[in-house]
Amino acid sequence: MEDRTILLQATGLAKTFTLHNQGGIRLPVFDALDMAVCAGDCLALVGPSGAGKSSLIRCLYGNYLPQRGSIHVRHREALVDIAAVHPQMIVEIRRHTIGFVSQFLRAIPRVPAIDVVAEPLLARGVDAASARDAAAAVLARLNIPRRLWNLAPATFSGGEQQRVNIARSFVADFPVLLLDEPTASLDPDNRNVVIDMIVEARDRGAGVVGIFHDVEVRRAVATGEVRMNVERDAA
Amino acid sequence: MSMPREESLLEVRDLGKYFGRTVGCESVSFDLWPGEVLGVVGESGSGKSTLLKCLSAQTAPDRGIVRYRLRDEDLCDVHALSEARQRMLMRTDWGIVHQNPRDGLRFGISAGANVGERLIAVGARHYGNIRTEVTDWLQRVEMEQSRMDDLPGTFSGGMQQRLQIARNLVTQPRLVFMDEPTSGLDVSVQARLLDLIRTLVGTLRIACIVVTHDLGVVRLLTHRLMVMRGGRVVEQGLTDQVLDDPQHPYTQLLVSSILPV
Repeated sequence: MEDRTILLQATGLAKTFTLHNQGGIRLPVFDALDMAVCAGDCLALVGPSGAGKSSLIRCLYGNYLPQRGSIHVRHREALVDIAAVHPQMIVEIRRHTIGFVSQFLRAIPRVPAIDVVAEPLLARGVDAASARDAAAAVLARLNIPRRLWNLAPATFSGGEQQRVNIARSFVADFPVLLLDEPTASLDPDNRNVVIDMIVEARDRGAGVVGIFHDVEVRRAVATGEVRMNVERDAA
Repeated sequence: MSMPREESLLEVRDLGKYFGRTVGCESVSFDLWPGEVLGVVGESGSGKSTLLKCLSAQTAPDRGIVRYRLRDEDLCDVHALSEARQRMLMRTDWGIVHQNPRDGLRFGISAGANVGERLIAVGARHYGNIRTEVTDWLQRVEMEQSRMDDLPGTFSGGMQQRLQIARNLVTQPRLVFMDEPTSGLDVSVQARLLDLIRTLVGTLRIACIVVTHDLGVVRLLTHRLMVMRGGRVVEQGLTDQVLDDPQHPYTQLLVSSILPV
């Protein structure tokens, strides 16, 4: 039987930016948004630029603060509302449950790529040798040349940095994955590797939410869509 | 609000400190958990250094309470402890990394002695063991062993700061206060020191309160952030949330004022 456990669910979610230092301008992004991701799902967020796709992903990660609504995530068998928990709990949820691939790697100066990738495992208490082995395996799969592993990613090309970023979130088998344009700066070969990795994550029962501008990638990985539109200017 | 299950290490309630009619800090309340790194940001005069002094028992607050969980699991009112017990706490369970190494190191004794002295203060007596432990710690802060017998005055600013960290961490404290730990250093040295602090604090699960005006330091080092202005906390939350989606006008101004590189 198919496993339809809900892993992540947003209900009545609303996000508005208020720019206090620019005359208090209010920028509504989305309102009354509902979505649910079950084990094995990959939901693609679809809509034009400015529709709030990245903002939604960031809300789901606890990085942006929604004005209304709830975001329940299944964390250690219980549903926890990210929009209402103590920040320390979000740190814990990110350590064990939700992985996030942002559009750009925020590289920590001077830390070698392999350690950047191993970090999520170390944070969970995995021993250093096993964490490095696992990191090496993902870096190899994503075709990062071995000679780069012990260098800090700050000097890498855009595509290499993005692959380090992807490796970091796929090394730890997160139950929920949030992907903001994971294949944007990748060549076709590496794009296909990432497609395979997303499909494998789905197959092991992860719930995925992603922004995939590349139609081929979206076709290959998505099992459903959430359509988003640009909020109209207030009259 | 669902709270973490673990017991907190520090509980601060309604803390206030006044200098005549001037507010040093006011109405500050928060909890800190083991292994958690809390950043406190604000411009000069925002009250962040006053807050740090009240928290670390260097200054008595005028109101409010600071409770610390001792190793026997009892919460104690830090400011109600006798001076002798406060000093003991600072030597054993706490560390303080000062902005200026001159405030945290003894310049008249060697680098090794600066680290060994803290061990002796907590009861270590065996010379060989102390020497081994000191060597180990100098290695962990990436200092050459050949410099062990040199005076701190002969070191660069970055080395002095690393020595100060070794001196503080050698007794395995559970809570470390840091006051602008990297602000006196060249940028090239800053990154290295920050990574070192991040790694040590993470692997040893030391709780930290880091006061700084540098938002880059905060993003790299801290889990949670408090933004202070005029002695009050105007916003607090998860560090990346406060920096990426600031809610308070003052935080929005701070974040938008960072010069792009």
